[in-house]
Amino acid sequence: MWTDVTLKQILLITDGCSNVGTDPVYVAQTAREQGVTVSVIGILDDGALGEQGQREAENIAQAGGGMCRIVRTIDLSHTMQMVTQRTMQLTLQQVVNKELRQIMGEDSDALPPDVRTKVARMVESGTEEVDLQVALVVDVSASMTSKMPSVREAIRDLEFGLLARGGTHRLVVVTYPGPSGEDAQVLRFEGTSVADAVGALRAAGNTPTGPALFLAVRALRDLGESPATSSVRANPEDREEGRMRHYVV
Amino acid sequence: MSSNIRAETTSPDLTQGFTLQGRWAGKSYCVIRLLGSGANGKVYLVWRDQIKVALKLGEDSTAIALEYEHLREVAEKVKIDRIVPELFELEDVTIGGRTYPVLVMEWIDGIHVEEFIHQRGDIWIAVCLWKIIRLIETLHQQGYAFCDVKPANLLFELHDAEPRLIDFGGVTPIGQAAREFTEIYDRAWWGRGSRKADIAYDTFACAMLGLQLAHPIPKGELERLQKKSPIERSAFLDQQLHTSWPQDELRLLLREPLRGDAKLHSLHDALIPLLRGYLNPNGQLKNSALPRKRSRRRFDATDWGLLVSVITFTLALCALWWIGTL
Repeated sequence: MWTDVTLKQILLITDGCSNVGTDPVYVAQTAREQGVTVSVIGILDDGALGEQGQREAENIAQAGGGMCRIVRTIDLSHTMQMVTQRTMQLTLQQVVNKELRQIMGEDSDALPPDVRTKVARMVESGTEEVDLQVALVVDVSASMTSKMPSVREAIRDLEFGLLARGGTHRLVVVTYPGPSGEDAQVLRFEGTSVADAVGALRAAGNTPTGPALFLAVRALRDLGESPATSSVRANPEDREEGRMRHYVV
Repeated sequence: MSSNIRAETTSPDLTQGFTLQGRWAGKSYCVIRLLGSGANGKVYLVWRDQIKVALKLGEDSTAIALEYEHLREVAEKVKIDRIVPELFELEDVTIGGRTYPVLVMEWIDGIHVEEFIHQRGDIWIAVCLWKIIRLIETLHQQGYAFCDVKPANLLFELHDAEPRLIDFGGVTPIGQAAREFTEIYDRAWWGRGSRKADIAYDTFACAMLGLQLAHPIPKGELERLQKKSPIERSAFLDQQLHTSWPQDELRLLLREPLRGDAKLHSLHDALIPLLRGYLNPNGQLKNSALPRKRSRRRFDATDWGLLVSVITFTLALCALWWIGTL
């Protein structure tokens, strides 16, 4: 039932507060209206995140319908994986809940455990099979410089996680501020991994979070029109999927 | 989308004596103490009727329901006791006006593998590893990979020194992407293969567990490796496998499974000659294999009691002799 579903996510990685351009909370809100979930990872160590930055991170995630996590650089890789995975799972859960409300007038949280486990199974197969489009929005302002190697490896690690899935995926990276004064840029990369392109970044300048998010929404929209890179589908359990569909309808 | 994804996991801290009321099966659970916290929530020791059980208090009802499902399915297929913890119920409880999903299961009273080996000696590393592998193999036979092999997800029971798997949150159907893993036990992180949940993925993690027990990688090194590429991490791992360890047979044996594409049973079989080597012809552990700590037994109350009584007795004799000489 999930094979023609595409999920779109934006994951913002920052250690500071926006200081120029459109309000990022507003952009997150419009992204959500277009079916794109926005989650935020705020990096704590020796950055300029502060109380204000943390509040902004939470507000962006709240407006974007996603999750917010404030972590140390060392936990970045694991957190990126977890947030992507959990966001996907919870978005699918919301799709299922919507259907359930139409059929039974109930959320899955209100269902008895034996029915709920069946719904959980359906979400499990969904997280494996849906087509996923992720835009990573990476803050590369001066305070991020020392964290760039960790960010690069965390992105590479995220790619490993995406590659292991059955469904297709697309990954774009938007960095901000841009290298020659512009607000943000979509990273172009030649070669096998986006992460290699991130390594070459020179961090500097302002923190135009809003315009960067805006660019990410547009990049995701453009992706919708180009064909996805497909990873090998391992052992699709069509039989089980059929059973689940039967259950819902 | 209608509702917001919760911003932060904040499952509440429960104090001793707090009682939770199950919504579906109608049981109540009285908190004894916190056993631990994991990726999917907190685990409490609770009274369920007159039995002590483990109660996992989660945030995400899908994750908890899935863990229950995997446990239930494995338990149903494997008709051997004690492979998976005994399952009681999947429940909802309300705390402070909010509903949380809970998973109620058997409480396993045991110690972590590091502590077990610390108590009994390094010779037990191979034995432990072998026993853990046998457990995970039964999961593989049911079409599941464990994925999150690490000390925190295992306990050795106190009464029979057998390992038990305690956290099934990472269990994934073979062929799908691993959902829960820990970097240093993750094959992809070390640049030794994909993150697909397959048999070799668990084999790698088990071998890494052996490495961490026999010749642990310092924490500082791991933090340094965080900023390195998988190729560099892989080179570091090679280096670890080419310098000698206190238990060098184990090092040689773990090289193959740490390549990332080995079957679990080949590691299992490779361990057997090593285990035989530890046994004398009567099937008992050789002297060299006995616990290190035996000679360093501490003084306890009995010893002090004995010492005090000897001194008192000697003093009494002295006193008698002195009275006699008067």
